[in-house]
Parts: sequence; structure tokens; C-alpha cells
Amino acid sequence: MNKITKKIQGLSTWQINIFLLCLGLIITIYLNWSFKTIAAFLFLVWFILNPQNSRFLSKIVVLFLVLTLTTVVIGRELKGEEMAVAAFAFLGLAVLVGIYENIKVKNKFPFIFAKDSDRED
Amino acid sequence: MLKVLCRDVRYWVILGIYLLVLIFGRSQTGIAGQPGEFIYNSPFYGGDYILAEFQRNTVVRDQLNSNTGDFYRIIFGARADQDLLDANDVQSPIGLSLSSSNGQDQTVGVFEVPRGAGFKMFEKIIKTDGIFKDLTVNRTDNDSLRGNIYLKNLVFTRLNVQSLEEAGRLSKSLYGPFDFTEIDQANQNDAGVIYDLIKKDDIVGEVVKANSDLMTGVSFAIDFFGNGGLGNYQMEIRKAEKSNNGFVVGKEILSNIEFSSAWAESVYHESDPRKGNVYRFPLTYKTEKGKYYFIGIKNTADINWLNHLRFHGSHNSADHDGASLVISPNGNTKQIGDLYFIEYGIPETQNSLQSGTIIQDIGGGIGDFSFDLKNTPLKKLPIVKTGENENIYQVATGFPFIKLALDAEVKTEDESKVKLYVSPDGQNWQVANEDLETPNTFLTAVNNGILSRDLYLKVAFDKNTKPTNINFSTLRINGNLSLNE
Repeated sequence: MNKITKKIQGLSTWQINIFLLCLGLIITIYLNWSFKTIAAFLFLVWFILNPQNSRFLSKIVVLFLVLTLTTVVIGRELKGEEMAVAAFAFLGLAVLVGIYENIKVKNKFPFIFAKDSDRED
Repeated sequence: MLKVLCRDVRYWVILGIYLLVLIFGRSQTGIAGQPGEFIYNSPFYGGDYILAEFQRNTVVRDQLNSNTGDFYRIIFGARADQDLLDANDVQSPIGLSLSSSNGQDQTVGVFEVPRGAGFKMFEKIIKTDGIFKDLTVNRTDNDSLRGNIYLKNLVFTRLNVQSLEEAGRLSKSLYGPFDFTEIDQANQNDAGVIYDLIKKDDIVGEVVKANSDLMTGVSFAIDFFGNGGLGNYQMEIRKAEKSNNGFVVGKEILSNIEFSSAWAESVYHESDPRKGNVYRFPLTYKTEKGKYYFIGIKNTADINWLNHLRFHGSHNSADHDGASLVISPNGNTKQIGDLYFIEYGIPETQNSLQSGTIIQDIGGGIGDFSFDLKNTPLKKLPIVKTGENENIYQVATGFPFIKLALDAEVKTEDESKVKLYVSPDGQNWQVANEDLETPNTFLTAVNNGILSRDLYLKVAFDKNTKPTNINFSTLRINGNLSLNE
């Protein structure tokens, strides 16, 4: 028993992350979710475990917008609509992360955002 | 373990999310294996197909989308023309098979299609062993190529079952009435014009004795003399009683429709050229078997000697229990010859479903619902309630619904704009999303029907400019039902 406890305590961060992702995968498969929904859910879990900056997310938005355009041009409007929905979702996420980053910077460097009247000469 | 989780608060957040998913995840998905994606992952609801005389096969191309190892149900209605050379030939067998783009084939089965006017519904469940896109219908009896074979309501649906045992436990599909060729009463002798409708507010029509429980339409042979008269005529149904001196027609109008001569010409004129000047009017009424009804056209239009309606018929040739009458505004009735008329009727079905409806058990307690107005006899939805600025329609779903997607187009004679509302109870209305590029076209979803067995539709219009002849030109409703309720 002690051995197992020690092994668990010795798990590295990435091993715990993989374990949580696998757990999520098992739960969603058990619930009979579709492949697309499982992929979106696991991305969210991965994103919580490994937060990315808003710049990274904006690149994904651009990628999906390009895919939207491509799919519409080749006459696959329904797929294009799905791509556009994904782009919109990532855009929303990027905006949220951007706001969070902004607040973080504001707390770290309050003087940058201070009004002129608040500054001490 | 706890110590490991305490390393980072995010682990607790994720475990919390997992817990919520386990509690609510199943009900959010709705259907095991089909997480509410029916709008994009919809079954194939096909149209009508004809295997023409001397044509050995016909292929429905690029419409199916099967996966290897999944279970599917194929439903279709079929009938064949009478074999004029061999009266004993009462069936025409057809074979159905699936094929893929790489040449793989799978037989669905052989079906004995009845010859005659009435359609028979067939359904079969198969496990597909490939990715099939095409459906081939071929005549298996090569010696007998006489007569067309007609297929309608072809549906191909993926089932939510994993084994043959599970597939065997599925209930048989339910259909609304699907055969609209049945004639209840008729006098089809046309010896020429027997009556000119030139007096204002006179009503010309026919008394019929109902033999079925639902009147689905009525046909008259009419000439629109000149421009047929301006404005709208009114077709109505009233109760009638037999007396010693003929028939007494009641004053109460049980059901009515209005039409102009232009509208009748473009919408009600029979498309079969052999039927000449026969017009089939979408007057529907739930009749009582054995009771007499008067079906007539009231002269509410602006007419004169040069522009009016002329009714065809014959003199004393009718062999049905009824009479052709003219009713004047003061209530006097006069018997004329025998009008050409056909009254269509269908016997009452065991369920309350409307024609054009198919309900399939797809497994897991989920039903697949489909309704298409084009599969109804009159291509018209009956109004259940009419108001100053609205018409309310009703579509029976048979079971409570989880989610329904609706695709509709409303047509008005004067092309005025209308709004569409949907509701599971006829009380709480939800605005249907309109296609901004095509006026009066709507695409919307209704979710909250778990306590309802009907979907209500409300067409709202401006009461000052009440449009005439409001009707759905397209109405398709697809979605999922809860069969366990």
C-alpha cells in the first residue's frame, strides 16, 4: 500500500495531466458523446491544464477562418459553417484569455495603467 | 492521492467538471450515440421515384451515407400500374440494393409491389458492410416489364442499435394515412356544361353520403368562362338531411376555403391532362360515416354573363346516394342534373398521425419523426384556428418530442410578408428564424416538447392587409421523439 502511495506521490505533472485526460476520455466515451464533442471537451481540459496565451488562440482562430473560406470555396458549405462556429468559439476563448492577461498585467504593473492624477512625482 | 491533487487547484477544477459531466452529461446528449446532431447528421428523406415501363432499374445516386457495421432501416411506399395484358399479374417484384463508389454491393431484399392504385408501405432493417452512397431499384421479374412502378416516401435511417437482437426488438414504424387515391363518392360522367353560376351568392354543389371518416378533397369539372369572375369564390361543406322532398341543407358552414379563378387555375387544376378541366379542391373535413353532407361553391366573386363559372356534369346518370343542388340566398333549393364530382376520403387510421408523417423506433427509446407536406394528399395543412391576424396549424407528433427542426416556406397569393411562430402547446410561442434572403422562408428548431404530442404553427400577418390564400408551400419537420413517455 505504501508503495502505491509513494508511486502516486512521485507522479510528475505531465503524468497527472495524461491521467486526467484519459479519465475525461473514458467518461465521454461512456456517455456516448460524438467524436467532435469529445475532441472539443478534451481540448478544454488540456487548455485548463496547459493555459496558452491569447496570441496562440488567435492563431487558431485565423487557421479556422482560412479553413472556413477554403471549405466554402470548394462547395462544402455545411463544413464551412462548422469551421466558422469553431473559429467563433476560439475567438471567444481568446478574448476571455486576453481579458485575464490584461487584468494580470494591470495587477503586476499598476503604474502603467494609473491615471496621470494618481501618479506621484 | 489527495496530496498530489493539492499540488494544483486546476486538478480540482477538472475533477469538478468531470463530476458535473457525469451528472448532467447524459441528459445533455439526449440520445446515446446521436448527441442531438440530427440537423447535420440527418437521415435521408427521399422523394418519389418512377421505374418507367421497360426500364430495368433506376439508381438513387449519392444520397445515402452509411458506415460499415451500422444498422439502417429502409422505408418506402410502392405501387405498380395494372398489367393491361395479363389481369392475373397482380404483383410486380422489385429488388433493392446498395452500392458504393468502389463497386461494392449489398442486397437489401426483394419486395412484391402490388399492382393497382393503392400504395403499400415496405420497411426493412439491414446491417451494412460498407460505405454505401447509392440505392438501386431493379425489376427482378425480367419477363414482365409492363407498367410503371412508383416509389414514394423513401427513407434511409441509421439506427441506434448494436446487434441483430436489439434491431429485432424495435417497434414497427408508424405512418399517417399514405394512400390518397381512394374515392369515397363520385359521378364522373361529363356530358358537358349543365349549369352556369351567374347569380350572386348562389351555391352550387353536391350532396354526398360519407363512407369514410375523413374527407381529403373534392373535385369538380369546371370551365372558368371569360376570366372566371374577379374576387374570391367560397367552397364550403354543410350538413344535409334526407327528407321526403329531397335533401334539406343546414345553415352552418362546417369547413370552407376561398379561391380566386387565377388561384384555382394555378394550384387546383389537375396536372393529368386526361382529366381536362377537373379541379381538385383541398377542402378537408372529419366526416361521420353514413351522414349526408353538402359540398358547394358559393358565388361570392364579382361575376357577369361574360365572366363566371360553368359546371360540367350529366343528366340523371348518377348512381350514388345524393343530389346536385343550387341553393339561393333566401334558402330555396333547386335540383339540377348530376354534377361531375369526386369526393376523396380515407378511412380513419389507428393512430392520430397526419398523412405525410413517419415515426420510426431507432432504438434507445428514441423515435425519429419526419413530416413532409409534399407527401400529403392536398399539399396543404388544415387550419385549426383562425384569428384577426393569425392562422394556427397543428401537426401531431404522436409522442413527446425532444427536438424538432422545421423548414418552412409560406406562400400568399399577394406575396405579402408573414411571420411564423412555433409552439409545443399552442400557448407559449417562439419566433421562427427567417431566411433573410428569401422572404417567408423559415428554418428553426423547437426543443421543449417533452410534455407535448403536437407541434403548433402560427402564421401571423398584418390584419389591415390580410393576405389571401395563405398556405405552406414547403413544410418539413424532422427530429427526435421520446418513445418511453
